[in-house]
Amino acid sequence: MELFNLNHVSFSFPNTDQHVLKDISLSVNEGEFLVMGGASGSGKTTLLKLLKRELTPTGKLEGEIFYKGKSISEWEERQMVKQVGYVFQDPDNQIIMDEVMQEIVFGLENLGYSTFEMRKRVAEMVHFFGVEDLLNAKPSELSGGQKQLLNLLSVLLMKPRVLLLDEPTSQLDPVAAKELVLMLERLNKETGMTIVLVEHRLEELYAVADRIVLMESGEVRYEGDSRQVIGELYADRATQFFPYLPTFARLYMEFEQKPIIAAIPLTVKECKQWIGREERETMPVEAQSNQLKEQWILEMNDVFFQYQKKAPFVLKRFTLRIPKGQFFAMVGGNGSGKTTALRASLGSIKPQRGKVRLNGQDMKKMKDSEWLGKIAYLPQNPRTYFVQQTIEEEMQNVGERLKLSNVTERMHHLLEAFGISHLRTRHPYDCSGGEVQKAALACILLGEPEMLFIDEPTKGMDPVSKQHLGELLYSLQQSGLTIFMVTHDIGFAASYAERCAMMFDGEIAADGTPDELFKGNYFYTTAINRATRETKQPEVLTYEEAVATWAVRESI
Amino acid sequence: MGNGIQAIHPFVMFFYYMCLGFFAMFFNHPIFLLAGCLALIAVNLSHDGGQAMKQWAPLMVTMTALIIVINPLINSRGMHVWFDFFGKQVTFEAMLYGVVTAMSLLMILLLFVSLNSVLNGNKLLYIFARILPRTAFLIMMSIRFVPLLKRRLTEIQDVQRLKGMTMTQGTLSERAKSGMSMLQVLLSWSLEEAVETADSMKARGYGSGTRRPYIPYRMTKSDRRWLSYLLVAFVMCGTGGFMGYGKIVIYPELGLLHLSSLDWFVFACGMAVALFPLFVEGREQLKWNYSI
Amino acid sequence: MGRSRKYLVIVSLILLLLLVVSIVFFHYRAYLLLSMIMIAAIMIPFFARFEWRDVGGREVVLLAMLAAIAAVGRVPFAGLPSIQPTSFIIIMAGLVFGAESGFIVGAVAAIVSNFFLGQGPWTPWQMYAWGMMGMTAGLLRNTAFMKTLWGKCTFGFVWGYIFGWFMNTWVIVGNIEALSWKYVAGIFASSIYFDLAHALSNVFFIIVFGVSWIKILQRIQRKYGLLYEQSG
Repeated sequence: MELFNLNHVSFSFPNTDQHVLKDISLSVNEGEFLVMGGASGSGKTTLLKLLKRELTPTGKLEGEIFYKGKSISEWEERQMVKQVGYVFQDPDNQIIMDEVMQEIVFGLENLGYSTFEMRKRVAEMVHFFGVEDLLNAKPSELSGGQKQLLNLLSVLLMKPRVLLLDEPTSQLDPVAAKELVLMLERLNKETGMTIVLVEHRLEELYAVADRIVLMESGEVRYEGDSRQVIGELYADRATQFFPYLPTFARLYMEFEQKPIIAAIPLTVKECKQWIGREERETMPVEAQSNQLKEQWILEMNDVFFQYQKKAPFVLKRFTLRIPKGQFFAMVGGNGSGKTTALRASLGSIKPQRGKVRLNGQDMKKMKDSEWLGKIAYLPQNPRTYFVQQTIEEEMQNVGERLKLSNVTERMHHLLEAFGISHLRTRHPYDCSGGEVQKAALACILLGEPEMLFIDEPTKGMDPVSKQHLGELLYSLQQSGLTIFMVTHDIGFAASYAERCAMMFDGEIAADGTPDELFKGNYFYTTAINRATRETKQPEVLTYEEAVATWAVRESI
Repeated sequence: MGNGIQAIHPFVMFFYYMCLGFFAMFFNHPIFLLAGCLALIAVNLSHDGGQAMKQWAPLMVTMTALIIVINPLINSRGMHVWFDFFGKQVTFEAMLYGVVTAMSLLMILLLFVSLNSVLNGNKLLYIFARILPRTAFLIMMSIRFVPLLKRRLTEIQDVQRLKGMTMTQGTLSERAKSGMSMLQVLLSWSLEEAVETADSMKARGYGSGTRRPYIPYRMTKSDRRWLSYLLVAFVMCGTGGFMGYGKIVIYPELGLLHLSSLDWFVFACGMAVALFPLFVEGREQLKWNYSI
Repeated sequence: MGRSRKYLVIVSLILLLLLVVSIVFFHYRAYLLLSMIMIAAIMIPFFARFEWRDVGGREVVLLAMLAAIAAVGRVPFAGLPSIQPTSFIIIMAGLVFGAESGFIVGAVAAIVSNFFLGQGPWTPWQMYAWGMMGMTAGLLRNTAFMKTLWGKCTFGFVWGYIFGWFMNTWVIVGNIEALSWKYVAGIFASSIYFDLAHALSNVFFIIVFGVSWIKILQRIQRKYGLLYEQSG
């Protein structure tokens, strides 16, 4: 049965002629797991919001949207609230109440259920999810993954027929993201819940989805079964969508002489079967310790840190040295202390024991003004950077603070180089996430810092923007900038960083080149690495590496 | 939900604090007030061993001391002159009045210390949610935002410090500017993000009709029993108070401090109310120790 | 909503009754009790208006967020105790969003910050003082006086003092039989430094940040679509 049916739907925001959605005809079937992909700005979020009547943006809507055969506007308000659930991107913004229990019954309160019914539903749903321990916590104490689970739970309590999710995993670390996807899969399989998921990180979703929809500039470009879509993409050579495909599938399509659509591997298991297993002696990696007397720009020696007197240590004997000009990436799970390590190296927190040296100088003894302009920090959320009303004003302001000469000229140069000259007079909040990030980076580089600290730069980015960012950072490093990046995006770190370290329990557990560090791991590695381990092909970390190192196409 | 006093229905607890607040402001016999203070100190000790009280101690001590010292010095009403202080007559009445006022204030402060740890956060809001549902909801949401904003503020401080906005260096006006600039970033950022919060409310049906709040607390049989107990004791005590028991005349001339037997009866009723949390805790202890 | 209306009417009636009772019966004059009842009675109409008015979800979120920002405003100034940023934020809220919203932001900011610092007998006084600060800012926002920078600064300066006086009053009414000019003057003198610092920081913030804050709040007002609902 069709749940949703979109009949030639177009949409444009007020005061613009540009259509965000153009003539879309699409249906969503009962019990289906539908995944929507596409670059930022391709209109997928707008499309999703049109399916949830309460969230319909103001603007001009043409065409008609049917829910269960009846126009969506004819349904009774509470029925629509109940039947269509919506989970947003940011885990924090959706939470309204100060207690988990109050939060999950919020929807039921609004719909006027009795306390008895609320208790009953909570008991059942909490049991299904196995989250009894969350009930007595405060939402502010939960991790990102738990918060998103809470948001899912509070929507599910209204017993919706269809669940709409807008990039729910984009702010989560890979482990939490996988958990959420597993939960959705379970919901779909065990309760027959219809799920429409919009996502950038599609790698694992191809195997889960019943149907894939790929969008580009407001239009549905490809639609159908996962393998069928991949086949069509390759038949049309639609290269702009290739980064959204699972790496296995890409390799299969490119290395297999006569690819068969039905045999496209979508999981690690299928990929291994395709390449063919081959037992290989796994050699324990010997990290080459190139502890030559290099010029360290940042030195952290035996650093200990705790947030409160009786709290456990977040950093324990943390030691790290970064030489001049290196692109260093630090990975680690949630709560491994990597953000704390970054904050200690920035001088935001003062370690209880141990020394942090910047260019040989003890940071504890330096004043804030002494490192002004020498080190720069690109935060996870680049909006925190902007105080002024436009990007141009912000750059002028930075110039004044650092007492720079020829600010205007340098500003033009940087904006030009980043391709954001047209945003100069824009309010930072009117730019997209990627644009704000570039603008912040431009402001930061105005002072010509020696070292750049970056925190989770790829959160919520689509693969193409990610690639642009990586190339940008790489070129900055080539021009002499030292980069210290904290991330949980292993693929990104493996592709662009020179040296990586893995953090665990407050110290660096391993440190080496991406190859030394990630190859051979079970979980802390890329999916393609897991798929190529002990196979007839050389073990690789990224798609690019496979293309470069794998034997000629005929060999398989 | 906790046990002991934490398990009592918030409304019963609120009624208890209302009664005590009334007593503190109503009676002025020093013995009554002293007993009230002691009872509340005992109640506070039973909550957390006096942790919270310790935090408030400096404020309570300075306030009481100030009132006791200042009142007789600036006020010379009363008949019994005690001694001369730089040409000012210090009367016994003024002295006693200071003590009474100070104790009444101390009792109120102690009451709030206890209230803060028993009716924490949502329990207090739950009581007001009946009368002012939307205001209570607004406050609840605002409280939920506070830890989130604090976390965002740390992020902003980290970023802005490297831009040269520091709270540790510079003149007062430079620091004030830095601080407010950070709040400005917090303002624009958080208000921008809050649009999604509003959407999330709407998506879950906020404003779609009559809201029926979830009732997290159930009035149990024992809650009802405690409530009627408090009510009876309070009414008896209050009636006694209106009839003039438990009060003294201070100005213009100090009356009798002597307590009649009816005064003692009113006193006992007052104590029955004031010590109610201890009875609850005690009963619990007994049950734990002597039940099989 | 019907039930809350009923409760509210009952509560205001009870308060009125208590007020009469306390004036007639309290020969002993329990002024602190009396003053608290009075403050509650004064504030109830404002909250009642907020309860009964048609308030959208966005407006509730906006007000909650503003109150929370005002409450955490002190955090970055932890090292500078004489600077009081909360009042500035409340005044700005009143100026842009009007009297009713100004009152709610001020009063709620007081409750919320006391939830973390501890409630006390001063809570109602603080609620009232900050609420009134936001409300008067909203009431005067369209006058020629408040349109000038000087007007706003004078407003901020004066409120710095009025706020301090309100907070003194709760100490005074607890001890009203001792009322004498010297006593009042003594209490006011003891707080003169804080009041002056409060007044001056209001003026400072209004001069340096007034324009940009109003701009930001107006931008948000447009974004939330709350532009036409304000009556002032």
